[in-house]
Amino acid sequence: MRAHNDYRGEPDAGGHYGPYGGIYAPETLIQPLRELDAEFRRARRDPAFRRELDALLGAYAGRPTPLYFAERLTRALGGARIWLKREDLLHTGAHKINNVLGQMLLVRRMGKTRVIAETGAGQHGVATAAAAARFGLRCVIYMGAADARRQALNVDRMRLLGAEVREIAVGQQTLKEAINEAMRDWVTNVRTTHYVLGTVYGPHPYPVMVRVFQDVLGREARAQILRAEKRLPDVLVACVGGGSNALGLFHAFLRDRRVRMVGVEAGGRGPKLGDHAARFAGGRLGVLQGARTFVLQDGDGQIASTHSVSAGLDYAAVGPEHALLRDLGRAEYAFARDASALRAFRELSRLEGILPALESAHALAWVMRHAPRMKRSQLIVVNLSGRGDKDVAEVGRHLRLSGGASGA
Amino acid sequence: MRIGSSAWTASASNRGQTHFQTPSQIKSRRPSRLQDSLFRPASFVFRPRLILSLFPRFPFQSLESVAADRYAWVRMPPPSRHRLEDVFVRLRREGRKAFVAYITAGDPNLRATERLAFELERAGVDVLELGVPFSDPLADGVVNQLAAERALRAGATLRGLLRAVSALRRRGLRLPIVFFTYFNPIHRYGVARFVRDAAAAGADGALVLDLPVEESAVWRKLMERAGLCAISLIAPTTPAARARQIARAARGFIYYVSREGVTGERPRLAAGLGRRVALLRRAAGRTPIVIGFGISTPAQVRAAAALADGCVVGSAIVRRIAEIGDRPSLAPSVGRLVRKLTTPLKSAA
Repeated sequence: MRAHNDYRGEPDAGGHYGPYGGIYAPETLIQPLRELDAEFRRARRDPAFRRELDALLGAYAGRPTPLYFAERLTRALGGARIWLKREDLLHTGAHKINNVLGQMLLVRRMGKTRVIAETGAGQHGVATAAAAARFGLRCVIYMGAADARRQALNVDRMRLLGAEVREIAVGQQTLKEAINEAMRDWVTNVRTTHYVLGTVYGPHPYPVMVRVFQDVLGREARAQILRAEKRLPDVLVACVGGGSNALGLFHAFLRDRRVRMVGVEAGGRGPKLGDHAARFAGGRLGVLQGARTFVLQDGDGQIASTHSVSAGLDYAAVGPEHALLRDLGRAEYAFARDASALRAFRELSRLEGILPALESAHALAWVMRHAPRMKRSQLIVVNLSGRGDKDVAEVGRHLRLSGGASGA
Repeated sequence: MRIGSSAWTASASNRGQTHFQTPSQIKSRRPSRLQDSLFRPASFVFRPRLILSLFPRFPFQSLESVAADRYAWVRMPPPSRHRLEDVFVRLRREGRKAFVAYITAGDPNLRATERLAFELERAGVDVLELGVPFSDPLADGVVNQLAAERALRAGATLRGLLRAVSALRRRGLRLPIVFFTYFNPIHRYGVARFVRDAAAAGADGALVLDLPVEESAVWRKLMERAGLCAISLIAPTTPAARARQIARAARGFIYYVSREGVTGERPRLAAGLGRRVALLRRAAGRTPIVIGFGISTPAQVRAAAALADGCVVGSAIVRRIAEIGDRPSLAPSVGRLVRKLTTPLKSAA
């Protein structure tokens, strides 16, 4: 068997997770990335930093979030007991704020005055805009024009929070193009600007840094389930775009080897390249936007277009630590199609009175398929990573289009 | 027959023949058919040319020819690294600076790229940088982004590009060719396979924008063994110690990024460029330094080249290509533009 114990949850000094990760960035960014890495490592050891971050996470973001037993969903599915980690209750509506607050404190330590960020679904953009307002920093958010259309509510929220939103109208106009443009901005203004990357992706130290800022949610969930059920869960489920909410949940359980971990990618419309964002199912090893990992690409190494009903999962590459966890057999990855995510969205809304983000609905779609086949004594913890207010218009459009009578 | 680095470049008379090397070159390189065995312990590999190289300066010309005939079955990569390095040696001797022209390969199509390459050679370009079109060019400004998009739409692939380079060499192009690329197309093609095919096609080097020295040990070793230059970038944010480290590993020339930012035309050169290049000169030793990013006018060419061993113009040429498109007037028009740009470098500085 492969040795799970070798992996302690940290990359090497160069940011490599086995063959994945690394620092595939233009030379201009190497030194800023190294400075960021050094500052992050200093801050990580600094109790004062931890105290200040914890205080902010508590009073500003609303931590700890509850672990909620979804009683009616459990009964409707008739299988395993389903617990929801309610990251949707956080300020700005998703887990993204955990990471943003951590990075903002780093920005203050580094003395930079301007922050930029990319956003897909808009949740990371809103969190960055809010925190930039809170810290008095200038803020520019890059967003693909197609995403800006389907997440119009979040565009307005960012502008109200004082951020400048730049819509990118090249390529397929989604998250990938937004990251390219944010990188171009960063490489141009690197002396004054910090790039608040929103997921466990990009060149080192971003994957490890974002994971460290997110794993608070997994630590909470672990303590909460132990208190509530007096035992560890059998399965953890989270959606995987870049993969920050999933790693945030998984990391506290890495050494609990009986706990199965499932990451759910976006299966989109179908298995054809360009119709989905299931990197592990349809991708190959490649290098994109700073990291070596599984990338959806064609035979010539051009990055493929992707599709998902949820803008936050609509991305051609996956966080490098996920690739390693999969190699090690520690985590497994599945995908859910658009239709099942939409169904899960509606089910959770009706059964529990909670509108999940379309991203999180992919994790719920996996649960709805697999929970009925599990024993009633088994436990599932699902990361409900964001709330679905932003998706109301989009879901309404899809349900009408598909003639979903009961959805109207 | 005189065998040496001119054997490949004078390919019109040499078509289809095996390319030989002078003994001094043999010392630094291995036969290409052995390049597949890179990860095999070296001692298990029979290397006739290495045995020959035990005599560092082979004294008899006639014996050298005999040896070359004896091992004619070993297909050698073209002696291209020397073609690139020779350019800078020659220019330095003549007291001139290098003009490096960047175009995106395959924009508007590969056939036009071939015509442009010859036109650029006639217009006095010293080194040709061929951009490999990539879907996500995150270090490029909008002019080069659009060029990559056009090239991809016209069906440009890395494979096709290598074939085009090979065709250019067959038709007698002597201009050193350096690929300017992102890593993923090479990664997908297979790094070892790319290096082998690039050498066989007659390229001279490659510059990978998103492959910093930390990640490039294998890449540099493969390139070295194939006789190709792995060209390194140094940026204004690169600290001195790191610049020295990069300069030590540099081959061909050092590409100095004149400013923080992406490729594209700018109204003036970056402030303090002269001071920064002078500092870099100390770290770089004898390796030529070429300045790029944001150079687009004859005046900027003159000013930037005066600070270093040469400069790169890209977006200005690419923009002209975009304006004309795939028409018969494309090459002449680009030629006129480039002649204007190279004029300041024609006479000894």
